[in-house]
This record gives sequence, C-alpha cells and structure tokens, in this order.
Amino acid sequence: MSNVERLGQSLEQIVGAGGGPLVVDLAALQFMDSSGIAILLRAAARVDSIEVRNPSSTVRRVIECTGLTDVLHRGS
Amino acid sequence: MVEIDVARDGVGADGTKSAGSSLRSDGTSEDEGKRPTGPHRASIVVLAVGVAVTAVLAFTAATLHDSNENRLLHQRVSEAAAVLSAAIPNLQTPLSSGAVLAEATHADRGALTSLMKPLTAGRPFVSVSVWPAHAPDPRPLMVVGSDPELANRPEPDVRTFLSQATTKKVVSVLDLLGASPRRLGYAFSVGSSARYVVYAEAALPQNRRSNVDSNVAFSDLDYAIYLGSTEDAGRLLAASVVDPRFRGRTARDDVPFGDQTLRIVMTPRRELGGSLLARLPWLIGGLGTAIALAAALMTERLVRRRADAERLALQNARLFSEQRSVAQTLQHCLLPEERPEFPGLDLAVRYVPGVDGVDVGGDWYDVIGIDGSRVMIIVGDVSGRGLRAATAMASLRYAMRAYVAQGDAPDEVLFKLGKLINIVRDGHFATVLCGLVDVVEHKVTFANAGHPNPLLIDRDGATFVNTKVGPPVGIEAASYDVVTVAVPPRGTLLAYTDGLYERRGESPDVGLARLRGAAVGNGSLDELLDGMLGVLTPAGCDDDTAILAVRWLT
Repeated sequence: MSNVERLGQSLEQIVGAGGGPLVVDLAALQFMDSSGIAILLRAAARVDSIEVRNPSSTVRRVIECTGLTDVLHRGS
Repeated sequence: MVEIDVARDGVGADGTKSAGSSLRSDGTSEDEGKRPTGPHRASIVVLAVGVAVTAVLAFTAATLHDSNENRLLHQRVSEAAAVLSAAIPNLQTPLSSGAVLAEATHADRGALTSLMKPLTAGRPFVSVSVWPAHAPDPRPLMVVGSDPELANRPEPDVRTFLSQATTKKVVSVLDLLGASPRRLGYAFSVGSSARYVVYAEAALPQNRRSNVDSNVAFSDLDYAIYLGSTEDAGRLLAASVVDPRFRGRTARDDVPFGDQTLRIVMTPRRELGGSLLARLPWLIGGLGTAIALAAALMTERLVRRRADAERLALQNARLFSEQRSVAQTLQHCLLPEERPEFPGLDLAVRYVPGVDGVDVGGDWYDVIGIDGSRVMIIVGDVSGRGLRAATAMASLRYAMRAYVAQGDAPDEVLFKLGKLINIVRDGHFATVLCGLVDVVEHKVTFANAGHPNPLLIDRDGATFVNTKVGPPVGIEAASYDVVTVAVPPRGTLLAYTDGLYERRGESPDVGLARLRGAAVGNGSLDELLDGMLGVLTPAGCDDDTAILAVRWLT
C-alpha cells in the first residue's frame, strides 16, 4: 500500500543518534500524506538542520498546506 | 490521516507504554491453561493408520516370501527325487545281467566271476554272490568280493528273502543297517522260474554322512535319506549333517527303490529366493514404521501450529476489538453528536469514521462559548490513529478548553498547545484551526497550526479563508499570526479535517477545488453538510473526517 514504513525505518537508522545536517531528496516521491509528514517531522526534530529537496508539486503543496515549509528547510 | 503512524512503533526509546500492550498482558492470562499437552488425535490416527498399513504390507511380504520359499523347496526336493530315481537302474542292470547269465550257464563260476569282478571294487558293491533260489539250506554257490552279510543271517530269514526275490520284478532290498559295517543287500532273479538269485551288498558310510552332497546343485540344502517311508533314525541311509532332525521349513518326497521306497527330506540352509526377499518384510516394517512416525510427528507439528495460530488470531481479534472499542468509546465521549448551540448562530457537526481505517483517528471539533456574543470554534487532527491518537486528542481538547476559559486568544492557545505535545516524545503532532467568532460583529479571528483553511460560503459562492498557516503543534516552539475575516449576514464558515478532501496520489489543490465546488445550495446547514458528504465521499470517507459548520442567523 505504501512505503511509509520503509522510509520511517531508513530515517530512524540515519538520525537514530541525532546530530548533523540531514538532506532528504524527494525527487522520486509522487505523493505524501500525513503519515509521511510525521516521519519527516520526527527525523527533523532530531537533527541540527534538515533540507527537503526536489519535492513534486503535490508534495510541495502538502508541505505548504501544513505550514511546514520553514520547518523542513531549517539551517543550523 | 490515512496511514497508521508506523514510525511510532519504532520509537521504543520514548519510554511510553502503549495501551495496547497493557491490554495484551491482561487478556492472555485466561488462555494459558488451554494449551494442549498430549499428542493430538489427528497425529495418533495418522500413526495408527501408518502402522496398520505397514503391518499389512509387511505381513503380505512375509506371506509371499514364505509361499515362495515353500514352492522353491518342493521344486528342489522333486529334483533331488528325480536324481535318486535315475541312480536306481545302476544297481538293477548289473544284477539283472548276472541273473540271466547264472540261469544260462547254471551258475558257471568263471563266467559270473568275470562279469561280477568289476562291480565289487567298492562301487557300487562290496560283495556279489549267487544263491540257489529254493534250497532248504541256502548257502552261496559262489562269492566275488567280501563275504556276504546275508550268510550270517538266520536260515529261515535267508530262505524267505531268496524265495521272495523270485516273485518280484524289481530288486529286493534287504535292510542290513544293523550290521557292522552298515550295508544294504540287493537280490534279483529272472522271475518265478529262476533257479538262482544274484545277490549283492553295498557298503554305506559308517558315519551316515554321504558324499553324494558334493553335487553343487544341492549345496544350498541339507538333506536326509531314509529307507522306507518313515523318518526313523535307525533307517537313515545318508544325510548332509550329523543330526538330520530338521527344524523349520522342510519338504519330503518318496522314491521307489526296488521293492522298498526311499524317503528324502530336505531343508534349506539359506533363503532359496535370495536374501532381499527374506529381508523385505523387515525392510517394509522398519521403513513403514519410520514413515508413519515421521508423518505423525509432522501432523502433530502442523496441528499444533494451526492451533497456536487460531488461538493467536482469536486473541488478537479480541484485543483488537477491545482496543478499538476503548478508542471508539473515548472518541464518542469526546465528540458528542448532539448539535452545539449558541445564540445567533446555527451550528452543525459531523464525524465520519473512515471506511479503510481499522483504528479510530484523532480528529476532533469543539465549540466553546466565551460570553454572550463570542464563541471559540476549533477543528483539529492528531497524527496517527488508535487509542494513543485518541488519547492525545483528548488531552489537547481539554487543554484548549482551559486556555479558552482563561481568556486566551487563538494565537496564544496554539502557542501554549505547542508545549503540551512533542512529536519526539509522544510520537504525535497535531494540526489545529482555532477561530474566535464574534457573533455580533460578524467577524472571526483565526490562528492556524498547519490545518486546512476554512471555507467561507455566502450568496456569491465559496472561498477559502487565507489564514496564516503556521507549523503544526508538537514540532517546535512557534508563534502564530492571526487573521480576522468579516462574515456577511447569513454567511457560513466551514472547518474540516483533511479526510474530507484528501485523496491518495492527488495534489491537495485538486481536492480543495472539489471541496469548494461541492459547497453549494440554499438549504439548511444539515442539507449543506449531507450534500457535500454525498458528493465528496459517495462511498464513505477513506479517512476519518470531522466537520464543523457555523452559520449566522442574521
């Protein structure tokens, strides 16, 4: 149904220890709903900086509508 | 929210104990005692059937082997009897020649000696003699070879034996097995007119072991040959073993031997049909039992596994329904379905559970009166599903009621709410739209934490209110901007959660446009909401959906 679990596990592994800048490339992602956002947000909360790159227009609108544009482009 | 918040389960480090696991530990205890300890009936049946089939097969193989062995042995005994029969003319022919010669020459010593001499070298005879057929005092007229044992016999016996020899067409056999060395006597004459009887004696091996068995055709058999048709040890002529009282499988045959018979008894030294056939019943028995055991074990494992799975499924179903019903009860308590009321306003609410979702969502609405002309309207959505989402929703809902009661403005309410929930700690965040309605002034002041914009419906149609969308609560400390909009007389505001318009794989803009297009009609608020739900989600909502509608009565 969705790859949200795999994305969650991957991000958990990457940011598990917290720390450095995180870049998430969403070029291949066509659609994202609130569960995907929850995973990105959980990862974002643990790292110093996060940058979401290449979101599709749909994904970008989901991020904008949820008021997360700044949250997901946060420098250290 | 379409998805279960999967990542929540991955964040074990947050230390929160889920309601699900506590239910599980309560729920399983009564099932512990039901676990069966002995083997299941199915396994026993499989074992029994397997062993029974094995037994029948092994018995059949054994029976086949037995009858095969018997058949082969009888065949061999017949062959041996034929060999013996073929040897008898070797005795009778020289005696018959001697009898004819004796009659013709009146027992001429010279002629008979030259005929008999070659026959008395041990094989076949040790002694050949010629006797008068009907003499009152029978003595041998001539002897070639050693002295005949017959001469040591009582006179009447000798007389009877000799006269009987003239009445028979075959060789008369005399039992001299009691003598030492053991001998057999053979007498023959030309018939009832005979004046002479030719008599010969053959020596038998003293130990009764015969070297006739050197015939390789019978090397796999033990045999014994008796004179007469009884198996009397005293009448044993020859045997392949010292003690010829055979046990086990034996076969016998009688062969005419002069005026007597020979009894041949045989027993196999080993399996005549080969050792494989002999081992077959044991092979079948062993292999079949092993297969039956393995099948029974396999059955037992499968039955147990299935029983385990069934029990687990039952447990899970019960736990799930318990959990679900707890969450549903909680949500029903939190979201009373009766219509909220406030002077000067028409209010309507809807809560539609998702058809796909197995858990309840964290959507909610609230209407909190502040004074006679002001009311706070709230629509929110906690990320994730299930009991934890519903619980988080409850805490946010009551916290907001407290902040509103304190007189906090919408932006302050959201700011304070952000300190209550934390995505890392709780696994949830929430989008919340908070609007302060001034009924008399016909205006609403909105603060928005990541929530879809409300829809304003008036005579000219529907437009989205452009609130300033801040981040959802629970992400990071954030301040929120307020936007105040004027509402025309009899205008309607519609706040909702994303289940109403969000469709998988579709841009939110498409869904929002569809929503705006559906917000038409001059009917009552209920007609408006039911009409929109009918158009937007004809097959039910994918996700849980909460809707709050406010219409000015003036």
